[in-house]
Amino acid sequence: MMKQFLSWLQGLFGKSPQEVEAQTVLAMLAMTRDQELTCDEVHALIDQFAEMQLRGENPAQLMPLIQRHLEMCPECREEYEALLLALQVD
Amino acid sequence: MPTSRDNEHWLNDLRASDLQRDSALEDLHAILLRVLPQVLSRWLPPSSGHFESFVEDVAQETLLRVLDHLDSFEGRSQFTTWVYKIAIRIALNELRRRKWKEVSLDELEEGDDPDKISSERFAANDPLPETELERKDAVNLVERILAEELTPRQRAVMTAIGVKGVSMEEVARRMGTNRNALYKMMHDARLRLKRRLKREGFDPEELLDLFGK
Repeated sequence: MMKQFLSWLQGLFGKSPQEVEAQTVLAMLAMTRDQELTCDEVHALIDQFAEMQLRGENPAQLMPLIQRHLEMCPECREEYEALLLALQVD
Repeated sequence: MPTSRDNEHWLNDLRASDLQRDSALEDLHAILLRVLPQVLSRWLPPSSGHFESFVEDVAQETLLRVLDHLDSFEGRSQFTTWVYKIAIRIALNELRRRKWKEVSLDELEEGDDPDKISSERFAANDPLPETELERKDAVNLVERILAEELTPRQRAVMTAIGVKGVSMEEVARRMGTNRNALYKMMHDARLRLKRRLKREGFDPEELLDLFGK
């Protein structure tokens, strides 16, 4: 299934799987910082972050390390978006 | 409709005994059953036969975990927000576990054999020969530092998570570790790669430009 996905990418962007891998790794490295929060550290504060976001308090600016982690970590980002949704349904 | 409690009220009730606690748990349960379906419908179709029982399982597990971790609630957010956070982590963990359960270890670790790379190119914009060459150099450079700086296992993990989008929880589970430890491991690996690039005189952003959109 993954090979099909990569072939599709190749067709789409004219890139070989090697290029896709290299590009993805470089993108990760470009976002890498010496100091990064771990998933647990972000999880501990994400409820606060989500509430701030909905109050329009710009948590991305006030808690930039969390923001950075969310940009790097699809799973934490997914959980954050689900939390925003929960708060808006509430 | 459960009356709304403030944080202190929730904590007091849940720390109380029997009826007072049970009443709070019932209310929390009702709240979860009201909110979770809409949130989880994004990941699991509500029409699927297991949706309701899944939501119920998540709600039950959440209540248990809430009681277990009551002392760790710091009051920096609304109590219900904190509860939602716990519920979401439980739900998504389970959904991810199910999603990747079918994928074999081989498929997860599958690398791409360089000898089998297709030479077909469907580029919409033919890159200039100059850029073509530099991009190839960048690819070789990344391949080289990946091979030299990471163990085969670290590289396989990075590819699985970063490139192939495998759930971190799943990879962690198969490695017998947890997601947090895995994140730290990947962070260390990325730092090592970044510093190596720097030592060789390259900046990842500049190299990225060679790949276009």
